[in-house]
Amino acid sequence: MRFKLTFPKELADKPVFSEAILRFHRPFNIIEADVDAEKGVIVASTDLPEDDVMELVKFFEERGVRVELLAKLLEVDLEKCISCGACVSLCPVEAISIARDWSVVFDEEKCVACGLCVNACPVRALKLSIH
Amino acid sequence: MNSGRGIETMRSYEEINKKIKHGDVVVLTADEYARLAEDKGWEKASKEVDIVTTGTFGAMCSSGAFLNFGHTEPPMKMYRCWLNDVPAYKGLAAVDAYIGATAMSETRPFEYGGGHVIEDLVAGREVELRAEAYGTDCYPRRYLETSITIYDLNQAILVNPRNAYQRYNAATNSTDRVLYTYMGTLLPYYGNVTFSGSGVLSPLYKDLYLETIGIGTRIFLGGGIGYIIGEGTQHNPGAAMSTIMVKGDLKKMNPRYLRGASIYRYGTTMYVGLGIAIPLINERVAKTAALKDEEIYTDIVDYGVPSRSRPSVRRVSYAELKTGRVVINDRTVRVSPLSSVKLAMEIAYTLKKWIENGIFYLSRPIELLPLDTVFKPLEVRRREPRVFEVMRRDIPTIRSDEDLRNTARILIERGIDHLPVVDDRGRLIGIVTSWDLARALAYGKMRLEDIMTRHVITATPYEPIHSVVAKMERYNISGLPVVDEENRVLGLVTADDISRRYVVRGGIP
Repeated sequence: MRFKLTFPKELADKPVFSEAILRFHRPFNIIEADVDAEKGVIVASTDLPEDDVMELVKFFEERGVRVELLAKLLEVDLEKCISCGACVSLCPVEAISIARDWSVVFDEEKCVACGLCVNACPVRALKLSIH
Repeated sequence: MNSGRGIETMRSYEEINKKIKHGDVVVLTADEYARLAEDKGWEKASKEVDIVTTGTFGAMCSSGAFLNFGHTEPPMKMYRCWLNDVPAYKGLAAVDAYIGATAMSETRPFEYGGGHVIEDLVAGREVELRAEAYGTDCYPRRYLETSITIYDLNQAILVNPRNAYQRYNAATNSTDRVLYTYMGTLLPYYGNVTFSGSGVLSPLYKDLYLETIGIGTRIFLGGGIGYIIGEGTQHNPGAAMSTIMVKGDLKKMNPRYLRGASIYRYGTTMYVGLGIAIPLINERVAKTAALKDEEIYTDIVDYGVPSRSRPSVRRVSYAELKTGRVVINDRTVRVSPLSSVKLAMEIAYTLKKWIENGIFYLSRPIELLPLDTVFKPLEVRRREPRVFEVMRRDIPTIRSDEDLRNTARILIERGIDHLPVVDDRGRLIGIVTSWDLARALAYGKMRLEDIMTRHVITATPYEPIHSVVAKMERYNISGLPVVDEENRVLGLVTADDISRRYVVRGGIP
């Protein structure tokens, strides 16, 4: 499961994310982190069981962090895609592959939103949903 | 090979076209025929099969279209014109223009280009036309801004000077940085491989000696009908890199098979769908049409070497490329096709159906394409200044165990900013600059080894100066040690030396 956290600037000096790790005893994978003058954003993934996910959401919200659960990070416009495969070898987590019928297929669950494929797509069929 | 080239010993065009008319022609796509030939042998297979259809769908930069706009009231001799801000070539008659696939929009460069304009036209979308003229007595109008669609044009004719390479290099990158090339994004340290061409489906490879492919051959082009009008530019049969020049009526094409494209940090181009039906007229054609991906080879070329003669890293078959992984230096790396095998198969299949349904007949070429042309490089005749002409030869070097005070003293006494660090055989192992010494002072570093740069950007004596300037710009450095093949230091070339020498003379090389 992936989630996006938005920290207001008041929380800039609070180790909220570390607290969550300690509280849930789980490793979290930080996929993307971005800080500007107004806020901080972290996109992370976890293998917490479904039941505990709502507790995680509650944990962050109680501390003033906005939580969004993300279904997928990559949006693929299959109408535009020409299945050329330019993206395939760039994906660091092998979320993109070529099927038996030579269609390019995307495993959005694996995607870590690095964006390499987005730029490499010659027909601009790919978009990251967090941007 | 020239003996009896194009001879119709197995079946003639007339016989084949009669079969198409009667609906009993046997057509296989090139991959189907290759499989059949593998099962039965090509001799047997070619007795049963009349035609093999091929296809390719790849980025083909040498593509474009002639457009005729018709005359405005009052009329105008357009001197310059733009379609959706993409400049079209206007060195033609008053309202004729050529829009090339790689021309880029002046407002959205790298994102939108001539290929996109062509796609938009074929899709029936409105395109903004802007034109300028100097005005003449017969053509008084000086400016025009309007919108057009393909239906407004008198002619829209796709004319591509070079399409359908018989096969093409695969690409990789040995350097330590990401490269953005016309072969796509290439990851550092041989991080990936990209290739183009459809292998077993490749139109020109399936008729390897071009016995049925010539001037007048009717083809599938952009979803419509097109014709081969001659050999393409850079046609190089000796290297199995033949090409064709093609034309077709853009008004009858389909945007599914003509797609504007932008290659990241390289520029715009167009994906062109092209298919050729190869009649099995004699045994040589029947044999080469049966070639499998396993039998079609190309080179994986290192695009990290910025030269026209890039070294080959290894030979590879299209079969291996199509598995999605190849081994380079004992490491398995992933492979990206850049042309779409899926669309190539679709094109070969569509062409097969056209023939089976009697809507596409084969044409005997009026003339075959030459087999003796070669692809020559362009030698630069004007003298280009090279590194050895400006480099300093009498520069000091130091060893990595030198102490910092001595290092600083050498820089000051010799009035230089760059000091190469060498091993006991004079080979370059690092560089230290006055800036590095300032850093050592600021952070309390005491040893040269802690502050020197180990990954040194170097120059060679015969390298052109403009290449060194490009390196200085890219790596944000002001001096490069000049080294020989053994990496021994011969001298130093600096931005100061170059500017003193050339700016005074008026003109950077």
